[in-house]
Amino acid sequence: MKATINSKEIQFKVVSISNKDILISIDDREYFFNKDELDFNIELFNEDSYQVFDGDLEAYIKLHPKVVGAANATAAEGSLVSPMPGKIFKILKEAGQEVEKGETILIMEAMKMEHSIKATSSGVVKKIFFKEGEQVTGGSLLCELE
Amino acid sequence: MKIKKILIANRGEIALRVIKTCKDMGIKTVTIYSEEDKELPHSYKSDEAISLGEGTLADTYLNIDKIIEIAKRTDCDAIHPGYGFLSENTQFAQALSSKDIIFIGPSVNAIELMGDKKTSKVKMEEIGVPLIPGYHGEDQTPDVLEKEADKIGYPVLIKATAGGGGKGMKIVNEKSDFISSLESAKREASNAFGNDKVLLEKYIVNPRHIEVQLVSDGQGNHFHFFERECSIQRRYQKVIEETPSVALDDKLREDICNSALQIARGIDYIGAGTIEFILSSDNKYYFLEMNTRLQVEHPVTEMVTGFDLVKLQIQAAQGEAFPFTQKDIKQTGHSFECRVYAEDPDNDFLPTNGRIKTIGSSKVARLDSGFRDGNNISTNYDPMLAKVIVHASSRTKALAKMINALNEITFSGVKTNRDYMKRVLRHEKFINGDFHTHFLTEFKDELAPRDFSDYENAKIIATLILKDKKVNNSWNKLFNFRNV
Repeated sequence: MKATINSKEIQFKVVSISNKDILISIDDREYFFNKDELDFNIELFNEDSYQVFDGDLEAYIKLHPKVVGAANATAAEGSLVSPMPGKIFKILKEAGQEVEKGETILIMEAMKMEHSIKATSSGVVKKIFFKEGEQVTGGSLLCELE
Repeated sequence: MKIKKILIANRGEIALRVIKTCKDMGIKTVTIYSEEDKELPHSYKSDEAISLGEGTLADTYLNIDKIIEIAKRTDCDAIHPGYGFLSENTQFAQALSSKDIIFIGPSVNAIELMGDKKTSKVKMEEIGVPLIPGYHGEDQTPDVLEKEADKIGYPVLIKATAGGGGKGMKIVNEKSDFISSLESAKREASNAFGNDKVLLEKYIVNPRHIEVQLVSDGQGNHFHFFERECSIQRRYQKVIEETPSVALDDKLREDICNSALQIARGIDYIGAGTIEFILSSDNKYYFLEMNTRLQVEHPVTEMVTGFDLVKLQIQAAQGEAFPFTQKDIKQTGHSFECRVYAEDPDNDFLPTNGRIKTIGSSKVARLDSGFRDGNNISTNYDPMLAKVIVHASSRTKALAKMINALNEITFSGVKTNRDYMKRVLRHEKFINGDFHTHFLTEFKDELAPRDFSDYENAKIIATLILKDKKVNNSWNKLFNFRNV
């Protein structure tokens, strides 16, 4: 993963994560943080960048790929969004078909892995915006459920 | 005559500042606002607020006819222009007097005289206030120019009269370089402007910007309220101001304040005004210009003198004599003002926009802001969001207070110069009072943001992933894919 912090690119890995803590590695060194002990404040700054600050430090951070826009759209509209740039590998459902929550609608191929895009709730597929083989950018709306 | 109702022909923090004093004095207020500004506090914190509709500045805050019509309709007997906008507009002041509305400011003549660089300099010469030595003559023969340069004393600045942007501008440090620099300046000027006429001026090395606050009452009495130092500037705009100035000793302070008083007397001034001076590193000061209005940085003067300058403006406009003498005005302690701008200091000070999430509050500072939480910042107006003002018994204590205040007043949601100002306040030269008007440019590299350590970067990333609910949700949703 990459993050841009105050216009500098930082390469990092999330080694492990739970609800309470996270282990991040930068430049082969690992840093452990407990959520309750993190004393920085955070605010959404604009579309996909965040302001992280305490009294003394002020940072602007952006993640690549932007997990953020994807999540907002998914949560807000019951629609499904590409988590990262990639290719539409296979479409399993079509418009008008009923789906159960958790059922796979389509499969994306990205970062040499296949990712299944699953229904966030039970309903009817309203529209699928791409065809098999098409390239999509990260955060694109892939299909809508009703 | 007692003013009963004032229309405030301005927006943002200065409109709120005037409302505050009017409340103290029992005067009713009317504010005006453009449709774009209707969420800002100045559109509802007055007794009456009238919309100027939509449109450009010329249609709204600079629309003289509309503003006068609103003042008449709402029965205002006076208009306070704030700073900027119509505050130094002779047409406006003239129009008000013809409609029997008091303009809270000086006479039309004073605005006109001091608003023109040429007439003001002639007047200053007549009064005997020091001007930057120079030669502005028609005779351009190299011999004559060189003699004039000798008279001025080196270093001398050669400037194209048609000039701008540094073209045709040369600094000459020694007499032996004069002729070659003159030729080069004339060549550049003629190429750039098709006119090779030049003027000469004494070049001030490491100048400081010192200004003196004046208020003259309505009965011909003139008072100074000491100096302010405003040398910390970017793009000729002030960022941090303070009073007293560390550059003045008692004697120099007395001299410069007396020069300012001489000007007030010489032009029969009424109300609040500021004389701006350039102070050279060898402690000589020169008249730069006069601002015939209240200044943005007036609060530092209020903090050390204890006077309400807006109240004095209103009393002067009512024709009153002030009930105090010059001796009653004292400088106590030290005050700083930091101007919070919506801009990116690390990207050429480009204006930024956005929505203010939370401004934050401070227990130690006075915060003059025209915004509240949730307001949008547009790039259509001045980028100043707020003024943070502190007062303490010494400069060192005031400086510490200011850093604490800036830590509390965060303006989250918008990129501001808050962090940058802290870097300035912590710079060794600033702490020692050793600075001048080119300080921010000269120490640009030292004032750049520091790089974070790997640990800090990891902590920033951890904060984002663990503490922002949406990022955390999507992280779990998007990156816990099972391979199919």
